[in-house]
Amino acid sequence: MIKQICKNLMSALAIIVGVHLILFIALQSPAFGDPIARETQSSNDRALLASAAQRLGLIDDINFAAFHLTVHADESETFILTIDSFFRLHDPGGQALVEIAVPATLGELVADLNNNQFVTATVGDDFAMTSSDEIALVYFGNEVTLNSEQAYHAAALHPVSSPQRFLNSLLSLLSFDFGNDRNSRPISNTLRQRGLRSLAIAAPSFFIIFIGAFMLAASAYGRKRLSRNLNAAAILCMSLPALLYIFIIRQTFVINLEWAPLRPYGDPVLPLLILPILITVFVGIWPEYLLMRSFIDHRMRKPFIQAARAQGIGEQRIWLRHLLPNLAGPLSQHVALNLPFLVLGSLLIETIFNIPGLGISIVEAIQHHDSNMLRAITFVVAIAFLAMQATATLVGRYFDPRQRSEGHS
Amino acid sequence: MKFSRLVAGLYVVVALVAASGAIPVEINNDFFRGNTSVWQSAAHGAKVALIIGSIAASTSILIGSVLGFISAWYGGLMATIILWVATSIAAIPGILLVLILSYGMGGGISAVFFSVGLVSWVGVYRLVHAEVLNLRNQGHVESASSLGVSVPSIAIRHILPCIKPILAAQFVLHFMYAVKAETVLSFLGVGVHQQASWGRMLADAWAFGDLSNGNYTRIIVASLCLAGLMLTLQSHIYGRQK
Repeated sequence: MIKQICKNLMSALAIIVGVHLILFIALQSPAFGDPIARETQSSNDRALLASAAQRLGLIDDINFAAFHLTVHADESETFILTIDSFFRLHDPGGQALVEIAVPATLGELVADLNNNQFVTATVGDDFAMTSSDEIALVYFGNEVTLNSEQAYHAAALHPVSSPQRFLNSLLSLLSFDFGNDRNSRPISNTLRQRGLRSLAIAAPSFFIIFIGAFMLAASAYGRKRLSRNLNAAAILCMSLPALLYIFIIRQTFVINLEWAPLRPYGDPVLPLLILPILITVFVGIWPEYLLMRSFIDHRMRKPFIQAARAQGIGEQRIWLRHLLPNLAGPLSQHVALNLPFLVLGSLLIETIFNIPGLGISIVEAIQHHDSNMLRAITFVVAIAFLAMQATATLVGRYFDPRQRSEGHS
Repeated sequence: MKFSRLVAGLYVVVALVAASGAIPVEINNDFFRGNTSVWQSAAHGAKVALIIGSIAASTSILIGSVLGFISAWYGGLMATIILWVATSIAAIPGILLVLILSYGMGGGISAVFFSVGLVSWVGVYRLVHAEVLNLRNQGHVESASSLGVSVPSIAIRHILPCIKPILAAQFVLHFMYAVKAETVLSFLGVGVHQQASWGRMLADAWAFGDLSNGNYTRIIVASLCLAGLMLTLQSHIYGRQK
């Protein structure tokens, strides 16, 4: 038993690491393009770049005033400074004035700079021993224009290697420390507040869809004409884009008839959410209906149902005593596996109805280039999926003795 | 079946005509305004839908088949790693992962089909894995194997013909998923840029307040084009099942 639990926990952890790896590759690594450029929309603002680099975990600390530089010249002039493995200062014509191989510590660099006639530098005691690979201007590799006789703050930063970044962000996610979003608000708070609003629409919708689809499938069973009409309606409704229903229902009931307010969704008050719930049900019921139909049709062809019919047991009793207990396992597993995806709510409905839930958070995160928020929401949904997968297995074992015996073996 | 083939052929012809440049298109912010260019945009939308659907479905079928075959045939550590990647992908809601990948790739038509392809191979992988596990114990495959036929040759000559119907049905299903995903991604702003697509038509209809202005043409044309393609593909699957 304990061995089994440990094995399950290890597989869950492996999947969490896998999910994080996918998110890391998509959002934090240069696999699909420079993540900092994506986050800052290719801005040249060094403070913005540094802040994005820190948010993405590319650097773990910045001190914007690590040391101060002043360039001395006979006349007022402009100089260009670059720092990579060399500290270079040159005039716009390209003539080098200072070129120092970045030494071991910040203190040594400052001493070298002070030995040069063009630059003086001062450094705070706290940073005197900082190693050379941590020395850069705010964004590593950028050119900086300096005017003579003006003092400039140069920043020290510490780049983090990719494996270290992967580990750091995994550990922070596992401790549910999602950090801050672009506006420096804690992501955990946003997830809690918005998750509730999304659930206020998604949970009732899901249960109405589930029960409604089962009732439709049950009533269509054995009635050829109704079944054919419902199948045709399902295929037709599934073919049309969900956006069409949302547009038309919103236009008709909210704009034209004014049955519901346009922006009422500060809190999850159920009466105000009826319209989004109705749309979600209308869009979502058809695929569920087809699934329930296949569940019922498949079970009704099984020998134990045929045997019950042959014994002359009534249809009602067959449904209640034989079919439903047999369907309970797969149906409850289906519910358990779909529940975590409800947290997302509906991306489209939340966007169009302006409901501040998790769905709209995803859209806002994409529009405002907030990778941290996207990562956090995806991670939470994946964790919920794993938890529900474990629940589904337990539920399946409870309802189906065959699964219990498989588990023991 | 014949009618669905006719409609599918019509979509292909319209897409080819749009791709040949015979239908002029003007790209600017006001591109979709008014009724004049709705049909032109719809024709270009057919081109984009067919490109996205076919490339995304091909990508997912290719990745899913190759990985499904490798994991079922060789097993061992390779199979464990592939299963781990597939389960990790399946733990994230499909449309959310497609959104994230498309965002990561910077949007655009190629981002849409690659992100859909990279997300939806898991279903194909599971099916192919299960089928290959069954087929590898069957007489013709065992005979080929004992005669020293190479593994790629067994895969192509002896296993592929047996799983072709499953792959064909999966291709159509993934094609439909990709076309629908394009609509959602374009509406949310990480889909097709600088090109006419049915998703862009719906997004622009929303942005320019078509319904409030009493202008239903763009929404209805885009929706009907999409629904026509979906119905055609569904009837194709239904015909094959029959």
